[in-house]
Amino acid sequence: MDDDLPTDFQVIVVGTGMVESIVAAACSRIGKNVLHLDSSDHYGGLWASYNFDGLQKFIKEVNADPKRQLQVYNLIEKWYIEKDSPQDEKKEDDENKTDDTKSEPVKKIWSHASFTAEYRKFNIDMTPKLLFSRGPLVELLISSNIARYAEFRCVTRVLTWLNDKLMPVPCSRADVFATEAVSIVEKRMLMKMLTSIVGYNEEEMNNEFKDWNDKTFKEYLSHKGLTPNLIHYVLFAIAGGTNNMPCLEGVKECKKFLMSLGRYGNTPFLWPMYGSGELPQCFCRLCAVFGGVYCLNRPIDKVETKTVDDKMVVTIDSKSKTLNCDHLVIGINECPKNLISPEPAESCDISKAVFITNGSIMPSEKEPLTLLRFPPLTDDDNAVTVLEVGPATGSCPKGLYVVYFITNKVKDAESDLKPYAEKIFDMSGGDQTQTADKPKCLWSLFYNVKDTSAPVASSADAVHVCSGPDAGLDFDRAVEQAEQIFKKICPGEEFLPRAPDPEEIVFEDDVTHGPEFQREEDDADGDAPKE
Amino acid sequence: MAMATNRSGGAQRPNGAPQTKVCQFKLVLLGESAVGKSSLVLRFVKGQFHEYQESTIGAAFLTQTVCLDDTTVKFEIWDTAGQERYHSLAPMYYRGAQAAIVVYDITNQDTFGRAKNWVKELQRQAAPSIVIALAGNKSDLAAKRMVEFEEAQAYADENGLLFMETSAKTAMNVNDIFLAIANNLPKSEGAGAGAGGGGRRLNEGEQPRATSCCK
Repeated sequence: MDDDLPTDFQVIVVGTGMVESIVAAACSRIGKNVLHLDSSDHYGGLWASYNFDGLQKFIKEVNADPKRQLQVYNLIEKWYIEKDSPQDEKKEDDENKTDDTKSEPVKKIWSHASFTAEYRKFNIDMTPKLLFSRGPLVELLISSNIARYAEFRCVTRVLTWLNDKLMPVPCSRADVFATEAVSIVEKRMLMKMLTSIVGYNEEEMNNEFKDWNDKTFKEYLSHKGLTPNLIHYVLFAIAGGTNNMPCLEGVKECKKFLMSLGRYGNTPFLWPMYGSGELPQCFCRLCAVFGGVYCLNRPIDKVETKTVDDKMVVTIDSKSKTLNCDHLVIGINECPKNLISPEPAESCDISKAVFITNGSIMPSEKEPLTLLRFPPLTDDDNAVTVLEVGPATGSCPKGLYVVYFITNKVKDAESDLKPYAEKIFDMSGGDQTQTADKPKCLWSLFYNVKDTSAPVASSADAVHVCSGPDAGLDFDRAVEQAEQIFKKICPGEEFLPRAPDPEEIVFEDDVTHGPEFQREEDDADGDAPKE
Repeated sequence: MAMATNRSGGAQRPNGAPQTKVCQFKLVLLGESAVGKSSLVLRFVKGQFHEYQESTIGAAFLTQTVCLDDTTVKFEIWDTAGQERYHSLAPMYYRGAQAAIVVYDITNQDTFGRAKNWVKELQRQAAPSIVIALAGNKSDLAAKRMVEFEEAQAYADENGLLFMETSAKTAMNVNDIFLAIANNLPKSEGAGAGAGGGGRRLNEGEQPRATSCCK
């Protein structure tokens, strides 16, 4: 039962999204007494990843609850395959036998039933994001020692859509020289440009580009004499921009990309095993290890602030219990409206889609992990970010890929993204065993998410509101915001100092030795460094 | 309890060419609060027992090595860190776990019931090949026994679990249960090469050159 839950804490965190979880970990790590709640039965809120069953439940819940549609709306789920697999057991056995002898494996025929049977092998992200290898989140995971709770895969390639087909983007020096897509002259030009961008420090950058403040990055690239193909690579694929991207922003995005090269793999990016939804859980675990109390399935009914002896305290009513704390950290989607001040400005919402396919958009020898950056197909569109992850990431069963699409909303998720999906998938359904140049789309989900990523001020000093997920590629804004909130709660304290390794922990209090280990204990002085 | 820095440093991860085969496995502990999960680990790893072990700080991520004939098995042991108390254990806890010890208290029938639920949970959530051991802890308190040995043994046999009654206090069967798990883990080529799902860990050790590639 929940109701032996203690009632008094220094910090109560409501919601287990990325920002909330980082703040919870940081507070607990320096000794604050933390309670971390979530109204739902799983971690992550809008940052969660779901198995296939959990995702079906999520879709049903959102469709049934108008309140949740304030956050997530326009959900359209579609199957492109049959309810049941056509072949019976016997035929499958026969196929397996031929598999052993033939070099080319027979393609599995997927159905609703086979998805359901393997539902646990899916980990589908609501907020798929990558980490820059030298970005703030990777540095934080390492410096705090939280990295040991998670595993990652390197993104193996960056693709773009150029001249109506998929093209690999040369990332590293080796790539640039190996690629046949650009001429020798272009290679030199590109290398010179990229090298100079990496070399600038902040001051030099502002100096160099002071005359470019009101111009676009594209104009700068043309000015530098880059050919149209090179401009495409740099602007759309490396900087992740559009034709209107301001010059300085483009330069900074390029630098960020280039600085993260060469640390872990061939591209600047890492993908968390089992999905982005694992990362909030890693921070929660650190919080728990340092004494944080966890309670899911714990909705809150009412939040009040009052002043007791010149000190502000927050009281929270939850399941007929009153919880007290000095600081409340709360996710924007859980936060009562009266605590938000002023209402955040309306911003552009996010259009997202998830596809499950029976092959990679560009097959390769080893299982690829792909970032694809689509330039806008029409003048009204925004650039579209595509992430394709396979079975090796723990995202889906063997033989399948999960592909995420993200863009800023123009009309609705389906209208915004379907034209892009049709470029790279066969969305006609039909025979799955057919070999075609495009993978078959087996299942899709389109949805819009309200953009709640803008920082929000609260009406009380003791209440700290955490933003929701943004449309960006990385977690940088979440990390930055979490640190700011932490600094407000714990001024002057270190943000997530390194947690000790197990080998470094020595117990100093009274120990009741067990008989079998008595002798060894006497020999070894627990505090002395062992050689 | 306090923490201090021990400068001896941690054991190195196995490098590419070990003398004997080194396999690394992630092992998770499960069971109701206060059945002695942390105590079992502290006994196994540090040879210590704390009569009034408060909570889980410190035992949340320990490593210990077991030597078999031709193989060194390194356990990366994950404790629940108390997250099970209000049924809030994160799925990431089970990810890539190759072994689990489900602990109950032989003096408390309820904890045995909960242990069965944890076994079911593991069968649902964890990898199908996971090696599960059931530990009836606090066997030093046999006078207050509420769960019969035979009952637990029968349940373990039915579900294909390793089973022992243990005592973190007296150390009875503590090393043995870890050894039994080590013996039951697949140690073929490629097994246990890294902990968990086969992805990479980010450690400072591989901090590479300071400049980027485009030089």
